[in-house]
Amino acid sequence: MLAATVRVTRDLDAAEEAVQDAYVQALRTWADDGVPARPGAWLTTVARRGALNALRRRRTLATKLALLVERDEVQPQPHEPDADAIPDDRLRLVFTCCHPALSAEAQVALTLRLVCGVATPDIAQAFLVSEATMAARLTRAKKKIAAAAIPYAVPAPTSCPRASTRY
Amino acid sequence: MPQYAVMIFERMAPDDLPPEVMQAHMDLPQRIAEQGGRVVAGLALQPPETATAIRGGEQITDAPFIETKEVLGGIFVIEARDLDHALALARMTPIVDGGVELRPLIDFQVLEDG
Repeated sequence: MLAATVRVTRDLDAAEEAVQDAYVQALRTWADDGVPARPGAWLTTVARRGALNALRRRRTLATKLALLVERDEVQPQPHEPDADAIPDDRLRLVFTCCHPALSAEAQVALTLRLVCGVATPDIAQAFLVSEATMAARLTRAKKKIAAAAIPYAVPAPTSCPRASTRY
Repeated sequence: MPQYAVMIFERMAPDDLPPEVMQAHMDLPQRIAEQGGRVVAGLALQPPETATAIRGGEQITDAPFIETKEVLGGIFVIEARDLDHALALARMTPIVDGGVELRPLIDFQVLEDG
């Protein structure tokens, strides 16, 4: 889910927020309407739609473009995520988290947090460091991904031998 | 496109660099352009023996600020699609004994007067 959402936002923090919002919405909606047939797909769609909306809001704020024009024109059509796309997205996220430009420790911690969804305190415990230390390490790694423009992509086959030395 | 400073750390003094390495430096912008990147700026530094450091705003010393075996020989700024692209471009830098370091740049411009 997170992986599919990052593809829309290209920003890990924004994606995490959208996913959390989707869970909140699920708690509300599912209590009334029951659990949908494909809860995972439902959550992913809501998260991506939320992320798209947030993105557009931010862009509008930044450029102060005419609100009305944008709102009328592009109603985002979050397409139903097909089953094949999800593993791909997840793989992309793994490659981002495990980019050789990040330290090995950061790679493992980020992957546990973002791909496996392990909570920060649990990761901290596994690494025998305090929760604050681990939180700082994760924040630093996410900051580097954003600042250095570490790509959110599966490397081309030609670059694989080099890339796989650290993965 | 994001910009990166590529810092060249080299053990060999600039005067000792073989001519083919110097030529490779001259050809680098062209080769980077062929790979879809762009060299935005470049600085070639005189050797560290010519450096003067000011420490704490007071003390003046006849040495570079950080003394290392690999000395900072030059810096150039490239524009690339992302870090992987930038790494591929920076890898083409001719190095005899040393390496390069990439740093993403903060979006900030210094303009010359006039």
